[in-house]
Amino acid sequence: MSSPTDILVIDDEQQMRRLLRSTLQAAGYTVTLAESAKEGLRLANSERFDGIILDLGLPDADGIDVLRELRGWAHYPILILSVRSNEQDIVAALDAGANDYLTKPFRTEELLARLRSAIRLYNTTVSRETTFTAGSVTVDLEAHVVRRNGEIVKLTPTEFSLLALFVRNAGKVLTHNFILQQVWGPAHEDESQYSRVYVGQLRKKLEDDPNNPRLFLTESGIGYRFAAND
Amino acid sequence: MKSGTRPAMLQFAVAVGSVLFASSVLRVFADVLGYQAVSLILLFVVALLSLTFELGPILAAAAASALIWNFFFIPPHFTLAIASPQDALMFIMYFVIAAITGTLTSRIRARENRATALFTLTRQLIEAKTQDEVARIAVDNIGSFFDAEVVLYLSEQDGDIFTHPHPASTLAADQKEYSVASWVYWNEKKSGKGIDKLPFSNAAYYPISGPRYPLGVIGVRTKDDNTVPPEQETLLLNFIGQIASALEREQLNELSNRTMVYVESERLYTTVFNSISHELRTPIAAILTAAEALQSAAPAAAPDRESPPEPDYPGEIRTAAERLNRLVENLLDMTRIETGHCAPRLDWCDIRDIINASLKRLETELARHRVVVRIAGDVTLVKLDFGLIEQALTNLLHNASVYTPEGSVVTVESHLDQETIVITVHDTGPGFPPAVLPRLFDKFFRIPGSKTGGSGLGLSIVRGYVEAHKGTIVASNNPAGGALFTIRIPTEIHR
Repeated sequence: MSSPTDILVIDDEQQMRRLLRSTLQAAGYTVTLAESAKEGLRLANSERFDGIILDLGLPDADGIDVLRELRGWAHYPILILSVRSNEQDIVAALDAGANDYLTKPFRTEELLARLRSAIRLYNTTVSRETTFTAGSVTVDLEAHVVRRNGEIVKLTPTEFSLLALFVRNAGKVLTHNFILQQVWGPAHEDESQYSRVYVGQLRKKLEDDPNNPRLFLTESGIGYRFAAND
Repeated sequence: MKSGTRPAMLQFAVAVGSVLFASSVLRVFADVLGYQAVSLILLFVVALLSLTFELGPILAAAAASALIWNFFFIPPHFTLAIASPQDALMFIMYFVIAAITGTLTSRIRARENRATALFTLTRQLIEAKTQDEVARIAVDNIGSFFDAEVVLYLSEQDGDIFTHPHPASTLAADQKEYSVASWVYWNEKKSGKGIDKLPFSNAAYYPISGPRYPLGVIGVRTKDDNTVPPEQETLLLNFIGQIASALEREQLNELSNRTMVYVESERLYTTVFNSISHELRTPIAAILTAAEALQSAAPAAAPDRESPPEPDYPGEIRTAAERLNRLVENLLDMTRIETGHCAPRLDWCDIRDIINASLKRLETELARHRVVVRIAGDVTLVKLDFGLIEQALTNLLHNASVYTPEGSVVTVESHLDQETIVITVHDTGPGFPPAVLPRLFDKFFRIPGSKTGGSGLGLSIVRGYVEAHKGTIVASNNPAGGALFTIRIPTEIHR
């Protein structure tokens, strides 16, 4: 990393804060700590960061509310690190604008990988590439051309717009609801089978082994993640 | 009516007696007053009587006073003959006026009685605070006003009718009465004794109809002739109308109270559960993170040295913390099942995704096993709770990874059987001693002599999650050897 990357950690557990600080510092990040929602919001407001690690179980406010407030003006990735592991909480956090979600206990490697990828994705999203490669698949968003191993793959318009959504958000978890809203529109929110059916079709056309997907990854009970090309 | 209980004969006697008494007093002063004035005073007595007595005795008093007036006061005395046409006219007019006064007054009084009764009932119902109070007031008021025995059936929470009369009822009811009440309840039409249909019952039954759904049934049997006279039925229906609105009010009240208590206890449960899982998971997370940091800070000793390998302390901490973590997760899962907080959130799932997710979570554990996945048919979408079924499968596969030797084959199969999804997990391990099969899914049950390191919760969680989906799970020994688990869950299928 050329310049140090500043991370704000908001967590009410002192031990967790200490451990996260040393872990992140060892990985080359500059770390600022906050022990409450109030302090976290104040710091996020007054200083510039490249990413936030937010705990949902804060003593002075609900993490989802903090997330919504941050998302109003914080133009950098927010990663949730929480003991709450049920799907509703995760979906709620993602729908409120979290870039990723990791449950405690977590693997340090996993945290660092997610954080790195969230920061990188956030910056590439801004640059808006029009062609994208993942494994053997190349997508040209402008020309509406999809190739697998160099050969053109025919997609239906719906399949293409779903693929485009995945490509534009590569590496990020997309909730079923979000996918339905973006591709089919708000009127189809109850047609939750659509996303599953069409992801199944995309896997068949684009995955090397549709039964063992490497591109269209399932996030248990939450949604899908399109593999980023690391 | 309550006044009807007073023996009719007594009323007649008092009424006629009063007239006789007044007449004898007047007879003394007749010469001073003149017989015309006497007629007015007698008329006054009849009017007074009509304030308390019923129509019959009043008419009797009117007739008696007319005759007495004629006999004793109108000249010629002591004969019913009337000398002048004026007097004859006055005699007739006297009788007619006495009769009309009596009739009108008693009719007004009856109406007033009804209004008072209805008012009393309404006032009491407004003050009632529970359904039971409303029931008691209903029985008391109908009982005393219509001089009747009353039986009351109320609706249950689920909208069915209670099989037993409300305890406030004064009329004993058997199964036969209940069947009539039940018919009335479901058809919302009156029935029973004195009413055309089902005449074999002891009482007349009236539905208590709410604006949205029936609230209950009232059975009435008057003490004299067992039915409510038609002219009073309107009033009874008014009573029932008032009782219905009070009952509905109390039912809604009780419902909203129950809902409040329920919401409050759910909120408390969630708070306590979240706080406990936070308190258990946070230290484990800290231990694991610290152990990982230790491991990366002190990389394993170079393998080419001749010295015996250094004990891997951070690795030991991590293994133990991971085991503790699995136990905590199992305990939390079990708590959710036992407190009824694992209602599945059904959504469309690709069964292959669920199986893949479980296998991915156990990548390390199953690294030395051969895993085979077989799914019949094309992409199959079924409505399941992804997380719960994934956890159930993960527990089954984790067991297979622990209790079968390395190199064993673990097979996950899935197919549809009409509207049921069938998922089987079988392995080529040692299988189960037949004696333990019935107890396998019991909480904390462990096969005697099996490897240490399990809590005995894994399989009971699997069963809890499968049963939350209204499905079944069966454990058996594969005829070809090894353990076989078969999960069957009825589900909606998108083909």
